[in-house]
Amino acid sequence: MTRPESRRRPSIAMKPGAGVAAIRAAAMIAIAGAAIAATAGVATAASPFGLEQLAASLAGESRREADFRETRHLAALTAPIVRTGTLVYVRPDRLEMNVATPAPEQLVIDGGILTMRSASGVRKLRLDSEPLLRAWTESLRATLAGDLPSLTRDFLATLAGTPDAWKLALEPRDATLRAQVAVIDITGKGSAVTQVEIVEQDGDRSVMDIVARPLRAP
Amino acid sequence: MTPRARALLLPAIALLAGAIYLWSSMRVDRDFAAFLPHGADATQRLVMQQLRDSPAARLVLIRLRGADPQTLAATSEALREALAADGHFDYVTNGSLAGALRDLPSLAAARYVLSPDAASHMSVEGLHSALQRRLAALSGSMGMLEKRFLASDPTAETEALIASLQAGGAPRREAGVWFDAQGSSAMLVARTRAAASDQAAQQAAMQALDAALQRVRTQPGIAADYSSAGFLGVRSALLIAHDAARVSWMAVAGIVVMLLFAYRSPSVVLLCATPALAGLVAGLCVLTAMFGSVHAITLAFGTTLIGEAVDYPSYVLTRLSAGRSIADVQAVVRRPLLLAVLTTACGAFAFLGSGVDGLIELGVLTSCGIVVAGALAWWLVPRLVPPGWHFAAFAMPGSVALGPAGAWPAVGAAPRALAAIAVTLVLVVSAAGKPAWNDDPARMSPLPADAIALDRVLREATGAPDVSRFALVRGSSREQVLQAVEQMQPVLDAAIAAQHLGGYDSVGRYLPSEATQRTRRDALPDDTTLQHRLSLALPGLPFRAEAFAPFLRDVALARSAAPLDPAAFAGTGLGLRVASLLGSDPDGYWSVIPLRGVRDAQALADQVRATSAAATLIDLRQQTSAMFAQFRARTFAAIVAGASAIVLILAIGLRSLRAAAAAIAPSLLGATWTAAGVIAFGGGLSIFHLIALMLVLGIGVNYALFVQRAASRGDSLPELCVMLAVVSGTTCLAFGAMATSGIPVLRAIGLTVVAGTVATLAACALVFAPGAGSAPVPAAGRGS
Repeated sequence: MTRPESRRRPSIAMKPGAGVAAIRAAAMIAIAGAAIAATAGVATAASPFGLEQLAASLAGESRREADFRETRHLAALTAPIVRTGTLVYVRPDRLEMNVATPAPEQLVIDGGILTMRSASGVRKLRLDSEPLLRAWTESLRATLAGDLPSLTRDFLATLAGTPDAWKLALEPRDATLRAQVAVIDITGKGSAVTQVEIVEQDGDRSVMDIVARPLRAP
Repeated sequence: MTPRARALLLPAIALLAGAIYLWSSMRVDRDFAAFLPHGADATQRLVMQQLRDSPAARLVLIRLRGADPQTLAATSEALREALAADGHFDYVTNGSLAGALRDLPSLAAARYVLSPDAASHMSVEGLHSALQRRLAALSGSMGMLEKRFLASDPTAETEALIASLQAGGAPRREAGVWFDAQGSSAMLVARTRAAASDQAAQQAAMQALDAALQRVRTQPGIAADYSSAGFLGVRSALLIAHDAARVSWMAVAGIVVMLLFAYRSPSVVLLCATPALAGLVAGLCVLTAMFGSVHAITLAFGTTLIGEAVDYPSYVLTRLSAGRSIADVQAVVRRPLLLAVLTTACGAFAFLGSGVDGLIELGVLTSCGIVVAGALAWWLVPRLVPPGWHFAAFAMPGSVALGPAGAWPAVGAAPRALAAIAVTLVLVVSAAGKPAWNDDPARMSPLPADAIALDRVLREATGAPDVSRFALVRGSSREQVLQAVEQMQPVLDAAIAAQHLGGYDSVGRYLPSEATQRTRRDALPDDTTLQHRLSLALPGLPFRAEAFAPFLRDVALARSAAPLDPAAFAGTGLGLRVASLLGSDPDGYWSVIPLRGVRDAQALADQVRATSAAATLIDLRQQTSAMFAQFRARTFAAIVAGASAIVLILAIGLRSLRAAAAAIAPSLLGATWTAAGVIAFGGGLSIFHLIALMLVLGIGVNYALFVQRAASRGDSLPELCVMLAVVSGTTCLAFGAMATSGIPVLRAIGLTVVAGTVATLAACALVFAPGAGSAPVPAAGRGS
């Protein structure tokens, strides 16, 4: 009964599952939110372009909307998966991701709760029930608030380029998260975020292109 | 040194030595279970063990109310973190993500033996439709989660397992954490590290929980309450301790005041108290030497012992009127006093056969205490009575009605017999048709009804199993038990379908029998077959065949893996669940199947019995009732034996069977009346009422002996009445104090003894009359 090798059971290369998905979803809309928030920022760059300056410009108005197109490149698939829809950010802490294709779905972060609505029903998750989730929401809050100390506490942030064409690389500091996510690249033009790319350690990646919508009349 | 001081010296030294011994060695046990019977068979022992120490009994159910769901959820989460970091608790969950994540790897690792139909998903068609579903899921927002499962688990067995484990019983979720069905209270479940019966540790856990609740309460409006078997135990222990102390002080104070009124001399009151105190200390010393500890309820009975032992000096002192010498009085009361002590001690001895720890303690305490107190009273009184002190009889209220001083009312035997028969008839008729016995353990619980109601509400809200109802499977090996559990599952599923049952939890969900595991393993396709089927299932789908290598590897591993055992789940919530559902004891292996929402217990019990000889449906309340009934029967037998011993002692002591019968007749009458009264108006007799009746029998015989003596001698009736007033007054005060207790056991005994004492006194009046009705007592002592 004590042969160690015979005790081996089928192992599954699985990291904590539901949590990761939720984190990912949260992260996706958090970053998207940061992006639309940023599109409203003022792109005046008098000083040399740095994190401080980008953070200062990443501040939005009360409500922003954007269209997105997400392309998922997975090693297991012969063709990428494409998703489209809209993003809505309402200051200070509400974010919506409304997926139109291939299947309608809605994700909402509001007051620390992530709500997922799809054909299969409604799921709710508390963002602060997991340190990882908390790190992600903090990154959102910090980004929107231009709170650079918090942002750099959770991620190793590297900024490259010019104010007109910049790329912010965020590497997770948390080991569990880093085991899955290699880097999050945020590309922007002035105060507008145009693309969010999440690169996973296994090479799979997801690219989200963001186009801000004109502000609706109040 | 005066002779009086010398006389006090020896008992004082003995008392002091006894007190020091008690101070250093005696532990006070507050576990109510000492007053529950031991299990007679394996099932009963397990039931008692489950009641006291099962992991289910260690569960603490917590409810947070009084704020909006968001705030409550945040508080719930903060409390979960606080308790998870607290050493008093080894498990805490509020339904949030963090807890679920811990179980996932071990569940996933065992998926192909836990899933009942994994093999059927591995046909070509099964694989094709599973992959179609995976593709749809990959396109969703949870797609990245799906990606994790995809390569190794394309048939999504893990996901299905999680869903089946959560189906039914899991509380509603609001804001990511558990809420009650109304959505107004956040619910948490924690588990104490210590056993439910470990009172000190449970109390510490309770304090830790209170402190944690204080810390996490961000809004004053948030109300928290909680319940657990262990905490209820602590609560009842505190209630018992508190009440026992209160009852003791009340009784002692009442008796002292009464004796001061009767004797008007503090030193005489001290003289009365000394033998009783010595008897109590001696009894406790014997108990400590025998068991090491004394139960708080037994201690409370110490006061009843005082109530009776304090009477022994009174039997002498109340007769010590002016002009009589102590030697005279002692000569008159020697025989009845000796018989009184012996009969009481014998009666208490009967408790030794009850099989209930607390009652055995009580029997030892009473019989030792009474003998010591009686002997000491006899020895001390002549040596310690203050010189020149005499008893000044006080006027009894209503003594005028008794007629001229000293005369016994001349009532014939026939009217007295008629009166006795009439009273008996009235009581028996009013008791007729009502159940004689009541063994409902709930009646004996010291807990207030609202505490029990809260426990039920919290249990329902958290979906925690009903601790009082479960199916029990026994066997000689783990495999045998697991197979029997699997046999039970379809029956229970059918019962759910038939609305007899709300739900159940079974160890079979987490740990199938080796036979079932083997069947499931053998049904898995071999590597070549699976690879071939996969290649046939893939066309038309955008998956790369080589992506599923981990799947092929895991299925191959599952086919050759050693059987799953409980160790596979060590350190997870699943492991805790398995440990609470499956275990072993000296009688073999057992598994508990907790049941929820039992609607038709009889139908279920019949189905369970018909399915497997190894399984029984346990209704804890019924089981404990049955146990109480069994022990009540044993106690009844013990009481009959005790009563016979009393008659024997009386017959020998009085040298006349007829006199013995007369001496026990009033107490038998009194006990019968009281029993009929309890049945008629008190909801039926329990084991504790029987004990009280046994005490009534012992006390009544004491009174009867003295009344008999007085009647046969034609003693002054007022003098007899005053004596009876003093001795029955102390008894009624001691037991009356018990009757005020909030603990049902103490209250039942207190009320019964007071009623019985009064009834016996009344019966004495009916049985005895000078010259008529009572047998002449042999000459011994008369005129000496």
